[in-house]
Amino acid sequence: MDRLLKLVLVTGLVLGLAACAGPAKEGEGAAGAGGPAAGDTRRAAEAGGPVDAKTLLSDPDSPLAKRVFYFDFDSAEVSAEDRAALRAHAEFLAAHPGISAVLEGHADERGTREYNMALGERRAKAVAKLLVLQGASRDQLQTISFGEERPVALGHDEAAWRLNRRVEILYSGY
Amino acid sequence: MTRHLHIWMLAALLAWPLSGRATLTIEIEKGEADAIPIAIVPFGWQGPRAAPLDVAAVVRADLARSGRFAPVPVADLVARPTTAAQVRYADWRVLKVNNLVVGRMVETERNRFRIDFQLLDVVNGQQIAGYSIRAGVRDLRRAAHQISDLVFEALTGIPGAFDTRIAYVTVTADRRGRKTYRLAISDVDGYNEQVLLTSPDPILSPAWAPDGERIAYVSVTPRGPVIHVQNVYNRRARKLRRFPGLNNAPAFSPDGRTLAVTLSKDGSADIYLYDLKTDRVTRITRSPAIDVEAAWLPDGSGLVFTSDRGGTPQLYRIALRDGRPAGRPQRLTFSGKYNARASVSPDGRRVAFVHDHRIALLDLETLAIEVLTETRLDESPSFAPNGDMVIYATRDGNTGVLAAISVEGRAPQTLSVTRGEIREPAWSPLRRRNF
Amino acid sequence: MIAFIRQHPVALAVAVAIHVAFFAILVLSFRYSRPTTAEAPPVEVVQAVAVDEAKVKRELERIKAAERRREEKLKAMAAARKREEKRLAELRRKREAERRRQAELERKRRAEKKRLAELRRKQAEEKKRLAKLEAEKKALAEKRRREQERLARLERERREAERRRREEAARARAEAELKKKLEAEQQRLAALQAQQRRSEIDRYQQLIYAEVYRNWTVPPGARRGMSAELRVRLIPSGDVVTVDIARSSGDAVFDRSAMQAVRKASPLPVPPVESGLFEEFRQINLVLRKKET
Repeated sequence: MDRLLKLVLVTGLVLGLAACAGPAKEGEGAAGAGGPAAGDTRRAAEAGGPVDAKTLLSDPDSPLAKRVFYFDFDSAEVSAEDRAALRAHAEFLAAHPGISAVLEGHADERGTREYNMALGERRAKAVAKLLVLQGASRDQLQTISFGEERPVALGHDEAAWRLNRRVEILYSGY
Repeated sequence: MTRHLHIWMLAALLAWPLSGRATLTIEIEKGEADAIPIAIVPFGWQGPRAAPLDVAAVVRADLARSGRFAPVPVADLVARPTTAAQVRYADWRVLKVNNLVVGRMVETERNRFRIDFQLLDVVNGQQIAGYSIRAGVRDLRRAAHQISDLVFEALTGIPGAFDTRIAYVTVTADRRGRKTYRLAISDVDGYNEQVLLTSPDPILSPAWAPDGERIAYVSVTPRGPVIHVQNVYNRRARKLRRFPGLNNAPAFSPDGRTLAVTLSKDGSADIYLYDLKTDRVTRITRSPAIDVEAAWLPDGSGLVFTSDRGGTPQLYRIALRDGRPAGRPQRLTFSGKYNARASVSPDGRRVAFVHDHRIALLDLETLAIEVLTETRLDESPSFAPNGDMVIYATRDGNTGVLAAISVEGRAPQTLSVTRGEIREPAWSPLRRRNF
Repeated sequence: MIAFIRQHPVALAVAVAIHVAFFAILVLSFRYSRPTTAEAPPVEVVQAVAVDEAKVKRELERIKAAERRREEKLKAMAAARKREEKRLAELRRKREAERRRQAELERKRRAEKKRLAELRRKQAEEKKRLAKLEAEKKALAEKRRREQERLARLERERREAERRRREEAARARAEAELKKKLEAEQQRLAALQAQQRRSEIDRYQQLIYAEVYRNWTVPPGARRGMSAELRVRLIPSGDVVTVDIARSSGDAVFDRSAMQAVRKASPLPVPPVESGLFEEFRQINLVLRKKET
């Protein structure tokens, strides 16, 4: 009982802190814009060719290689490390206004199909919002939800479910 | 102390002389309904070939599936009368059955049949009902379901819902893992399947129009979800106006002119009414949360829907007046972390819904919750049009199956599975009898 | 000063009056005393005779001397008279003072005597009053004593009556109690017999209840609280001879289910004929009701 209470309190505290820290972190990220990813995308932007964009996107070592972002059950909260990775995508999109991306939201099989459609959309929109806050243009982004209809893992356990609760970034034409 | 004793004895004395004259009265109070023991004797057959259908077997299966009846296995039948006149009631009393169904089928002309049957009260030794039904070869199963309906109603006081259909979605995968989705309808016992639509895109939320002729559903295309309305008979489909974002969870209004839908064109998922004549939508809910899965109250006075405005998905009710929201949504569920996908009973008093991944009933008056199923990952409950059963999707091993459970919570019956996975069942309205 | 006078005109008037009175008294007393002092002393008549000169001279001398002596003697006499007068006046004054003192004393004595007489009279009166009071007190005390005696007597009588009443009531109660006990005992015995019959009947009622309950299939479509009353006729074997609907539920399905329940439960458990209880079961009513909850 006490432990449960503590857990609830701690969870509340952490959520509260996260909520406070969120926007600040985003602002900081946008201002700092450091890291190799940012440098690479800038160079690419200077070169300004689709080939460069394609190279960047197909580089398995680039932070842009991370295109899938995972979520907790019934949650659309982007994790802290994913925020950093998304910053690279935002920079890339900002540097390549001609490139657009589709954000696909997905859910695990638990919960009702229609609710999961809405949940997938909420996740996709949460990622889109972060990308826009960090420099991408809203016109470059399209969100779509497939709910629980397109799982990548077919099991019926948490191992499968955690892989299915996701948003995928798909760069059109690449 | 002694005084009480005196009073008690006096009461006893007063009561005693009366009881000598007055008739003894015994009051028996009973709540739960036991399954009714019934015998359905194989029907007689008169025709040039073998009988095209064992009508009695269909009736037996129907009644057993309802959970309200305990039909005697054919092997235990003590006699095989086919008319009321042949019945010796004493024989059947030994079997301790309350009722007996006897009948015979005649092929009146090629592929035309007449079925005569009687429902008998074994205990009181009298006939309760007798009917004559004519049917073509294609309608024989339907005729059998109609017999089930008649027996069911005569003995339970509840209209039968055997002569109804279910719509559902099946999923099959080819060797390369490519999935094919089918929207199908069948009789409630799984026979007479008709595929209305085959698509590579996931199909969601089939919903019957009150006329039983149209079905609305969601097709999740690569460009996003879109709602269609399809005619069950001529298969003609109509794609509804598509809005940015979600176009989901359609539900026909009781008058069949409006769909309650979920759209996210204005931001988050909210409930809208879609006028099927004008293609105009009216916003019903306004919240930054997810509002989804609207279900109509049978009198059209409001909607029950799922919303996570309170932090977790819960059921809410919103009143409607002239197609507009009247008042604020009221929360209906308070226990459980996941309450969603309401299906309102035909009498508007109960809601079947998903309660922490099981099927449960919510009393709309008391808000009491009664969990019906014990399996996990149960989804998409849909009330039978007589309100006596709920059909839902569940998992059997690695595949999705349909199951039906009586509202009394009797052992659920898995429905015969077609090939592949089956999900998203929707029980049709009652059909008009065709005899 | 003037203010004082203004404030106290009466005092002033009194003061003036007193002064005037004193003055008047002084004048009057002076006037009354004058006649005594103004009284002329008696004078002696002298007889003159002619004589020789020497002789006359001697005689004269001698007369002169005699004259002188007489004058001196007169003077002395006058002085003596004056002294005497003064002494007499003093005496008179003293006598007057004494008289006044005596009068005062007399007045005081009389006043004292009067006071004493008054005192005595008062004492006598007081004594008389006290005597009277004492008499009254005595009378009152006597009266009270008599009253108390009367009350005491009454109380004694009352207590006596009460005691008698109580004794009477207790006796009556005891008799009633005894009677009641006897009656109760009779009742108890009767009740015991009735109870034995009753419990035996109850037992069979329970058995019938259980049998009908077990055989009843409540129609699921029936409303909660719906009920039907059946009139059932039984024979000593317990077999149901007839079942009639005494009060319909208004629902054919429900009524039929009730009839079926009774028929199916036949034969019903009934007490043996020898017990004399079967008659209670020859015709019974059964109410079948669908539970409210």
